[in-house]
Amino acid sequence: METRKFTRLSMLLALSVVLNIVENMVPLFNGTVPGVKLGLANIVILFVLYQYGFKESLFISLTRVFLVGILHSGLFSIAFFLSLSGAILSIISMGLIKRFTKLSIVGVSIIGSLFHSLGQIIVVAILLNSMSAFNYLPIIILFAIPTGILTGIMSKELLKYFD
Amino acid sequence: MNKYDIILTLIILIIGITIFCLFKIGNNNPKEAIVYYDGDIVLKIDLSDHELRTYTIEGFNGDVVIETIDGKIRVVEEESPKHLCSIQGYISTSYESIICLPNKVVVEINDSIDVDTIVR
Amino acid sequence: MKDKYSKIVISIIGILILIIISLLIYKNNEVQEYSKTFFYMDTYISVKVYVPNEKKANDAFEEIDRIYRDYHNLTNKYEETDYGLYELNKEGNTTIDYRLYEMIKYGYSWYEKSDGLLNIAIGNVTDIWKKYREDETGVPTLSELNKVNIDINNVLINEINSKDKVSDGVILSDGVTIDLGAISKGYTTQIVGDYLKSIGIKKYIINAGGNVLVGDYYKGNSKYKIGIQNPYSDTNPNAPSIFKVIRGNNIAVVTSGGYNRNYVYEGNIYGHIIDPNTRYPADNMASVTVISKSSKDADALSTILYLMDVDTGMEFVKDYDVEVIWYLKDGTIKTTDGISKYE
Repeated sequence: METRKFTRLSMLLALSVVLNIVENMVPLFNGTVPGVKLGLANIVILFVLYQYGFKESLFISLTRVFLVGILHSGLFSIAFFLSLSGAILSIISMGLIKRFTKLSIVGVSIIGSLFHSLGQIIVVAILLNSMSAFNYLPIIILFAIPTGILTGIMSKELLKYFD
Repeated sequence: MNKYDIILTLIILIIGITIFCLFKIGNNNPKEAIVYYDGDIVLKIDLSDHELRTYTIEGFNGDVVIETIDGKIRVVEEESPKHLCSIQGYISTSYESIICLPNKVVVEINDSIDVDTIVR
Repeated sequence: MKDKYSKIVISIIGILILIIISLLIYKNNEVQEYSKTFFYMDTYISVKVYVPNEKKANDAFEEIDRIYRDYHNLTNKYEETDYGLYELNKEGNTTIDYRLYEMIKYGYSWYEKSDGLLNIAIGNVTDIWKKYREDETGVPTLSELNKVNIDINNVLINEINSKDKVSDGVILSDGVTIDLGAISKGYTTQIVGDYLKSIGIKKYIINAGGNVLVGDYYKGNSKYKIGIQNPYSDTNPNAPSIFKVIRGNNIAVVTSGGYNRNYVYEGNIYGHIIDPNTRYPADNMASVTVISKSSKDADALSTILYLMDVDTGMEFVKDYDVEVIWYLKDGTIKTTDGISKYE
């Protein structure tokens, strides 16, 4: 890996970790309602996905989850597993959508946001032995649209500076 | 945004609203709150009366205090780092629920009891 | 420009889909539900009918009210009426309404089949228990209970075919009195169900406190879901309020249990279903539920089965086309094999 790319990815990773932790400090978006999240870190993930590719974004995404786990919420805590499942589902869905459909970065972002929340809901349901987590399904589906558009547009603007 | 994005947005919107409607359309059967701890039912509370009542159950981190009034239910006190479920406030419909993840406690409302009639 | 149009088209299609979905959800306009609650025979009776218009429903409710009221009066042991059970028990031999005569005959027919467990001549014993239940200050002694006569041989039934008043149809002797509590609700509910069918109302639910009778399902090809109350749901908050759901149409579901209409004295619970052999309330199980095509048979059988232990009951019901669910006192649930067709 060339040094330039390596340093850039490292900085982006650091940025995504910071954004994630900052987001957790904002009330309303810190998981009061499971699945409802602004997903600021997703801006970085999306950027990496478009600028470098799927492998790099998957790497950033998973490393981010572990780092936030170590630094902030605790490794292997409930929040960690929520974040991990959300991140995996989100990055895989975004990679597939980007590769196989004509959706723009905004559409990819919406999908990512949606699956991020879905992943969390599934883990909540497993942890609690209860289907009631799925009661949030309509809320998270509807919430994925604005948050997805927001992060999508921000990543798009970010990409312009690097073109 | 291209037109595929718009189609996607509309599809998600429709799915979301449809599920929302399906969840919302219940009937006016008596409401009952069900409190779970670690997946097991620990408390059932009839929500059809309007009195203020408090209940205390044992959560994973300590006591969880639940309060009902006017067909609504909320968590008043619980031991957790962020107190998210006491911040959430009241719920009153079956498509809402209170999830206290650190305490492994879930409060659900069952307003359909999903049968046509009950033999007593 | 082309893009702009496609956006408009997409929005319109989206809105149309939404409208269609909401219409489909709200559409159930073929028949409407009308319901009414009555209070007879010491219980709330809720009747729901699914008919196209309100007039049809109200006409039906009027007649249903009349049926339940008439049977309530005719089977009431404690209040005067015309040609009813009160008069019969008092006089021993008097003119009674043919509907009461038919019901007594039906109840009487169960005595032999149930080996004496369903005994309509138990009136004197249930009177004693009723008094103690209302006072809640004690329990009758065996000698007090043994003093009264509950011998079915003191009930003489003469075959009479009449659709009016019946004389000498039932003759009571040696102070024996009749109690129809074990069958009256299920029997009357059957009459109401038959009436609804006779006027073309096929879609209905009748719930007369422990006696449920349903007709065809009100929508599509589905089946009614009838929840059976958990006998311990009042005393144990951990227990779900319903322990089983029965799915079916044109069936009667009747539960007998010691958990309602009982009283507690010195820590013991005394139920309302009296075993004619011991003359004390039976306490073999928490509840028993009978599923049958006939509401009156289900009611009679649920009482009989409540008085038997499970194994005897399991043998006994082999002669009948019914399914049974026993809820034992330790919480275990036993069922007949055929119950799966209602699950």
